[in-house]
Amino acid sequence: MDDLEQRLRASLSDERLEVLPRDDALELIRAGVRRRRRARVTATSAGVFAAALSAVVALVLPSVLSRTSGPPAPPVTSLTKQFRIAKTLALPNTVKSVAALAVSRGTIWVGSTGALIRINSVTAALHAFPLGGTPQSIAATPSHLWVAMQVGSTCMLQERNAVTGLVVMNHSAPCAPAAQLTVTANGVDAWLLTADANGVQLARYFAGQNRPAATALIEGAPWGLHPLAIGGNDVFVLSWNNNAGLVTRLSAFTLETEGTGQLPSDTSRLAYGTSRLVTAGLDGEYSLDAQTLTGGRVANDVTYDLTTGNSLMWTVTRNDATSALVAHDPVTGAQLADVVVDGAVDHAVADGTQLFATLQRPHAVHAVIDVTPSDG
Amino acid sequence: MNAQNESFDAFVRARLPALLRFAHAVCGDPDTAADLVQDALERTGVRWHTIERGGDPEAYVKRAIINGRTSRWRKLRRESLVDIVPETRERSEQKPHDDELWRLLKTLPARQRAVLVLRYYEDMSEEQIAQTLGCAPGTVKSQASKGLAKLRAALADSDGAEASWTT
Repeated sequence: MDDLEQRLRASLSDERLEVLPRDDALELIRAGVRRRRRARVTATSAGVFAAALSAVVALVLPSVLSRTSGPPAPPVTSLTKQFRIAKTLALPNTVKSVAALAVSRGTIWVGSTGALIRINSVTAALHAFPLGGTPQSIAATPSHLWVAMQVGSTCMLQERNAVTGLVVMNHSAPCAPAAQLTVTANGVDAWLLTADANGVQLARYFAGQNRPAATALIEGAPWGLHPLAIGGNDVFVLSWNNNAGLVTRLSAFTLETEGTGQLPSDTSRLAYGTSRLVTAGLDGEYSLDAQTLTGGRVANDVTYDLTTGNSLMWTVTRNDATSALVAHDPVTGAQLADVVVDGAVDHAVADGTQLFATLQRPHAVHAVIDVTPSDG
Repeated sequence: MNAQNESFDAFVRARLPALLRFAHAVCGDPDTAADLVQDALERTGVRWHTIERGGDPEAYVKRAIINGRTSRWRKLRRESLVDIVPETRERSEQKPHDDELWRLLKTLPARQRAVLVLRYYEDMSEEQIAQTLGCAPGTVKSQASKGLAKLRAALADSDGAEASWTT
């Protein structure tokens, strides 16, 4: 530790910086909590009234206008969905921690230190592939698997055959130490976000080609644990700009910036589903229109992970002993179902109607659980 | 009073002094620290049941304090301050030993300062700081590095200025 670090430690620990609490501090805090609870009740009532009014307008307006463009979709009714843990698949004892998870059509890919593990969710057949590093992010499509990792000062995107698991091609580029890599994929395309001390760069790779098809520098500094999402013809990136969260919408093909939106300052996770962009952070979950990047807070969980699938937004809350996987309507945030799990969930990924999550249990091996609709 | 309120009150009684001290280190001003802690604990109290179930309420409150500090910092920037507002109360008895470093810490952007406080006051690892701030460990590393570099440069400038006065 150098002199400045020692001075910092001493300065920040200086006893004369103690702040004495006011005598009535607890009373003031209690009063503030009561005031905020009342405000929340009022806001919720207003929200319920607005939702009811919207529902009435939505039901009445089509008949008034005599539209003939087909029946409207049935409204989502709260607390009607049921999910259950269909299966728990134990990971090998050698897996000490799970670094990344991806699922495509029932094939589960788990990344851990030095290994990539493929699991057939139906038969539980398991196969491990050695890796030259620890994957930071994995993306899977039915035909391709993309593994992002850093080895020394090289950032690598490894393209693999999703059926055989074998390497097709390695794409590599120099990057600063401790870079954060996130990959997402769709069809035969993959998008790699590299965030390091030099900034945030996005690149699109096309399967089988050894050069990026397009690249773009993203405004702002690196931020967020899940800062990348693909949806429709757009790709969305979370960054940090002027001390605020920033989401950038880019063309998924040319990577030209098409719009930006401001987010709460502590937003750290991003996902896309049903034309909505959902985010999670300390301020709760926000749902944004994917085109205008505007919206508002829809839920208030203390979220550990976030994913979307089958028209649902899933949040993960946890402590060391238990976790809760909570399904929300991505537009209204209404809680539709929850599944309580014994253990701490690390990662959650939706695949079709199912949700897969990796789980750590004290004194037990890591596992992958398959959460399936009870009525499906 | 129900069990939930009792549990929240017990938490506040036990942790309030430490939270105030932490907030003071984060924001550099005792009055702002008291406001930040009040705001963070009010937010926490509203959702106490969920947060307590999460297992680490103090980490949540600290995140709320840091986030509140960041919001204030942003607001202050928007207001385009033309000068530093003078302290309304004399706090000479509370001045730290290393007044120069303390003053320079206050000039750092909120996130950089938060990273340094968590590192050197809370003794957290990069992974723990990343988890507290909801960002990647690499970001923690770069923010800490930038913060330290700014402090070193400012201290060097200050030493140079002092030397030119004394020679």
